[in-house]
Amino acid sequence: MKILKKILMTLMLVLFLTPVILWAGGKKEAPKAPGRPYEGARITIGDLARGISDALKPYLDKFKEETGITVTLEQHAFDSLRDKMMIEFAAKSGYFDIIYLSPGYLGELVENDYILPLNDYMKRLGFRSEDFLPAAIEISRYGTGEEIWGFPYLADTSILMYRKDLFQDPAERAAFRSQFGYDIPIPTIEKPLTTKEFLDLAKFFTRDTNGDGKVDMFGFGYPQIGVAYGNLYIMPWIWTFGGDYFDKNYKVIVNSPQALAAMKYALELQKYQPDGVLAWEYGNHIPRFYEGHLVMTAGWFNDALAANNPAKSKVAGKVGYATVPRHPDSGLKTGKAVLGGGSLAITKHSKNPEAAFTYLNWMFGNESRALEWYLNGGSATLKRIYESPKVHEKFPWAKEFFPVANYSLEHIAKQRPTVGVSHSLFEVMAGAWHNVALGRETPEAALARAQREMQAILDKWRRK
Amino acid sequence: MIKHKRTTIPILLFIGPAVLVLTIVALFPIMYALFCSFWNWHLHRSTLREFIAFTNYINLFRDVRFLKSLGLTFLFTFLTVGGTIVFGFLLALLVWKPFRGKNLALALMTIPMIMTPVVSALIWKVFLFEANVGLINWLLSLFGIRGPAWIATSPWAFVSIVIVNIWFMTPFVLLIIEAALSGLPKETLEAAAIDGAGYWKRIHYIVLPMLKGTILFILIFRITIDYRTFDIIYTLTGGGPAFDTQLLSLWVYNVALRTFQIGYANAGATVMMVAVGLICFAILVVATRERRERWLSK
Repeated sequence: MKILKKILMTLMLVLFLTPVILWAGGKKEAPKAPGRPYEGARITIGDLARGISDALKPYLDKFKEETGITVTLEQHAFDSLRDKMMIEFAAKSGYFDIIYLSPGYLGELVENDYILPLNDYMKRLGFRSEDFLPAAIEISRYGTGEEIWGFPYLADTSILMYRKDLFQDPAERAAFRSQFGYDIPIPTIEKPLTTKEFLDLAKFFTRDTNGDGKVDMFGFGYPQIGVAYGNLYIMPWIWTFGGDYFDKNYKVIVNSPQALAAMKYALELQKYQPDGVLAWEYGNHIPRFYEGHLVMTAGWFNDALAANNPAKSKVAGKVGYATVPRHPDSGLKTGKAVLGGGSLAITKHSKNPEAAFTYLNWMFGNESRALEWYLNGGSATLKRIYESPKVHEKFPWAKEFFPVANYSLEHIAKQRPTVGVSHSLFEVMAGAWHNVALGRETPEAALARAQREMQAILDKWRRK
Repeated sequence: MIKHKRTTIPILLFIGPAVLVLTIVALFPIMYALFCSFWNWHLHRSTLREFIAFTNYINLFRDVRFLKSLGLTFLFTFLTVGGTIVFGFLLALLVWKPFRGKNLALALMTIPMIMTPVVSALIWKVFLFEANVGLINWLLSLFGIRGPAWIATSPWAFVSIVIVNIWFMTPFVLLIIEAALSGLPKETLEAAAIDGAGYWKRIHYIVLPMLKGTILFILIFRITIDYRTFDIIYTLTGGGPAFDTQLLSLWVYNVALRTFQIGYANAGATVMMVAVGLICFAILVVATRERRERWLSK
């Protein structure tokens, strides 16, 4: 028994003392090779589980080989990434070094001091801002501040896809002319569709094509589910009609004649969309367009590009691209769409912020690597990518797409409100739109209520 | 005295670990949630943490969206618990008597229960409830009925989440009632049949009273599960349209993890927990009154 006790005591001592001895001994720093200042550093990226992040994986080993920095890429669904990062931030854990930064929560992270402004790193570590699409940088700007909070990663916006073959069909053109008194307009960058033309087209193409008494082709269709897409649907219409959510003094201006006109317009347009769009997630409309059930829809770049890919779309070769419709009385030169995508931010509690920035610049700032990444499913944030012959060779069907995409990013895409209480504001507006779409509130009543509720949210936020 | 000590220590040793685990995983979180509910606490603003006593609770009862969620949660729980018990009981009656392939039939009927809730909800959403190409509306169209946009309009979105939850949880009720039915004394039922009691009379006057304990267990168990339903609703409707399917679980999730008002979210969760606790307690009191009276009269 005594021997057993002695053995146990010795074991316990060894267990307790080993970490102490190891700690007291200190960490032996391995000598760093010249040109590899961050050798041995480890960084963890929290990114969205999508094709563009999948396409980053082949470069991780090469980056480690060149710099000695180990990168771990974690991929999460949008909501779970947001939930996880917020918990990690609140705990100040430094778990993530780099996180995907959506404009949807940019304000919360900046206001709570969870991410680092990158301007200083950009100056010191060889970032060439002139090489990037301005929108890709703009997306990580908070309010009107000078700070850049994320590295360009994914610049996107909605562009209009339409069935070129139907727009150009002589029989359709004749029928449209007899019904509306003018020819089907073919949109161009210089002359986009007006909101009236867009509505007429949506109405005209909504029909029963096989005579079974059921409408099976719709003029338009776009997801409107929940807070995110309820808001992402109504907000661009309000912008397009010349309205906005609040002014630069945080005075809510959503109960305006422009917003009212937009809401009424959206309600009218709802008649020419399939039943159920209020429950469509983003992506639910894309297969319907590819299958030929929708004549017009709007989509992010990847979906728009693939619409003419014969491997993915039944209407390949028949899809035209255009900028979103413009409202002639808005006082704006173009319609407006939400600046989508996001950037990659470095977290405040990262232990290796410089190594993190080195990775970002290595991966996305190098033209040939960024081009290769784009061709393998990545995104294009460098200006020259869209002009590359390799890109045009890989996507020969998309000649019309690139100019529209570029123009939309430069002139049409608009950053959504990034204040820390954005989600609450969007919740109010999505609720107002859903109430109007369900016929539960008039547009006037919904906007008046939204104005009151949003102002209360903003006032409370400003007091803090 | 010594004898008493000898029995107490083993009892404590046996139940101690369980009590400790329960305290850590259940009691502490509940007490902590209750504690948080008296604070104005924003998860990401460490400076903004002040004791506000019952202010969160007062605000809750002025919050239209919370009240709507509370009402929806009660209605949802009532309909789904009732629905699962009715359907589970009827299905159990169907498979009560032995027949060839009974085990296979039971196994097939339990498939919904073994599926992941998110997968079940997606199947319903994409293949069944879809307004234009979904199976349900196609079937309705065969009878000349134009089906609604199930998960996109009111009140159909709410009806949809009730249907899916009943479908998902009925097998659980079926299995329990089927097991209870198998254990009923055959003699009593046979005697009633000989005395001329018809099938439904036997069910009403003999089977149902004998299953009272089982149904009570199911009732309480299902209430405490259903009021927390999250995954099916999140996947099917996301709480929409216009918050018409935002049950309290989604409300708490949104307030806690979208707007980070931890104190307020905990107050909402506490109200619901207390309400459900009171309902279960009331059911128990009513259901066991007879037994208690019998015991007291002895």
